[in-house]
Amino acid sequence: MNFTSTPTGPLGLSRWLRNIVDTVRTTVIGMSITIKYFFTKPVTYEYPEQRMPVAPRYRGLHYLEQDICIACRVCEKACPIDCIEIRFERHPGNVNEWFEFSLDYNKCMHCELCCYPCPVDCIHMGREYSLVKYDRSELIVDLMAWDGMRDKDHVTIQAAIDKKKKKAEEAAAKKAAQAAKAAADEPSAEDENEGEDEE
Amino acid sequence: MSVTSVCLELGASLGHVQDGSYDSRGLFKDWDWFGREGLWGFVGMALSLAIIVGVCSVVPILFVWVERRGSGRIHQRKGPNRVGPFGLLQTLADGIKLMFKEDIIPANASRFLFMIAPGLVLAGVFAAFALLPLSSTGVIVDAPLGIYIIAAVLSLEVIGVIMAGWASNNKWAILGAMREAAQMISYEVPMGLCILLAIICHDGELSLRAMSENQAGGFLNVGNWLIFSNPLFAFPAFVIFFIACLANTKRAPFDLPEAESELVSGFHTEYSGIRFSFFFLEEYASMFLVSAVTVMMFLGGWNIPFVPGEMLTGGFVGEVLAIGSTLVKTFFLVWVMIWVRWTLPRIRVDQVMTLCYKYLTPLAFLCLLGSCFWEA
Repeated sequence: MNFTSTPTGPLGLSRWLRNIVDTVRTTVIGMSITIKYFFTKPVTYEYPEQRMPVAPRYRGLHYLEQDICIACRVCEKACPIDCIEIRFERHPGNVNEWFEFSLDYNKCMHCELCCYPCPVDCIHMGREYSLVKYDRSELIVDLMAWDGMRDKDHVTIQAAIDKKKKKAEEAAAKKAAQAAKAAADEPSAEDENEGEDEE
Repeated sequence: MSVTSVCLELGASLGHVQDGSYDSRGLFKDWDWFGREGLWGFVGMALSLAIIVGVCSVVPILFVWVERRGSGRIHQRKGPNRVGPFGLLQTLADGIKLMFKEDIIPANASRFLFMIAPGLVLAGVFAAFALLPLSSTGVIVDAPLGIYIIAAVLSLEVIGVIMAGWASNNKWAILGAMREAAQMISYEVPMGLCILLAIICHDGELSLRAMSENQAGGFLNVGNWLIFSNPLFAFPAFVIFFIACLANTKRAPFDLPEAESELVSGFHTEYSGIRFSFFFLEEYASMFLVSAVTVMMFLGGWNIPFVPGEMLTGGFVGEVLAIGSTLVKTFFLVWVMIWVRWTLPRIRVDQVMTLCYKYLTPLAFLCLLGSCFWEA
């Protein structure tokens, strides 16, 4: 195809005829292009049902491997806009009771800086990109989605507490025995030992 | 082609039919309802009106669907596919929505003109539908001046459009209306010349039914179709007529009166609800109408290749085949209109003038002269 600039000057017969030929030719070319596209397959993804595949390094909503997380708060510190908030309580037996691991997607800019410092590699940028909510408050997402503690954890904690108690009792008994023994020798040391135990 | 002349000609041709001086074959001829006085005449009238209104409202629904799906596929999209099978009911849903929308009349609009303009636009197309012979007897009014009346009635629609634009009291609307007026005086000339050519080639017949009958026979029942029997002059005339028809229906690339990207929505900017849907309906109904007229003048009417012409003019099967073939050809032309719309960009006002006056009119004259010699 050659596109010539619009000729100026009087409309002679030769130009008149050439214009007609050009019009017909270009229209036929255009029509053949559109009909070619008519018979190609649509490229549509029907969104709610079908989703476009995202790039392997796509930075979507975060994905947290809840079981691995050790609650070290490194991600919270790394976040440049403080959108991560972590609240938990560490129980004996190395079990963390989570109250909150919330990410405020009102603020989050998906910079991935929270993912790099994680020592156990438990927080990742996920593939999910749909952030449609009815209210802004719903954009604060709890990544732990922790509805109370699991039975397993309760058992672990109970066992740890029992163990600790038992240990403490044993230690107390031991100390009491020692104290009794010492009291026989030196009565003034007894008060000191009892105060320590209660702590 | 003023309104009075339309009424006069319509009345005259109807009178002509009732005289018996013309071999009329209208749909209700055997029952002779039009000839009767009183109740039965009224019933016949109501029935034929119901048919026209039914066709006029169902056909656009189908075409809007074809337009949306077709444009979707041309854009490599899918188009509407949620409401009903293949999205067929989408237009119906939109129509219901439009019906329940508020009918807004601007405060400073010319109220009466604003209200009747959509009706006038639709009335032109409705009236012309009465004259369309889908088969040799499938016509409500088989007027001997068929094509003349259709050409006249079609220009009624332009009056409605100008009225709508003027009455809206809106600058976009009035610009659209002025464009429509300017466009109308340019496309009517080549259109009229092409109609004249068809009349000359069809032995001076003005009735569309007679034109279609005239194209029966020949090689494989195709040879007598006007574009094949007179290929050198009638085929260009067919193309010119089709281009003029595109301008008549305000379809791209001649959608200047609407011109979404320049004038918000052109002459119907201020319209909403059911009145807007009248303009919408009119566009697609007139697409059907104009394509059907083209088919009857140039593409052999109801004639089908390989099927002898006599078979199509008699008997139930013949009638059904004839109506089917007319509809198939018409739908094809409508599809071409849709196809053109999604291919060509809108042209400027001066380009419309240039096209119609400097190119189409001389070419139509050449074809007219040439076919005078061809037929002689």
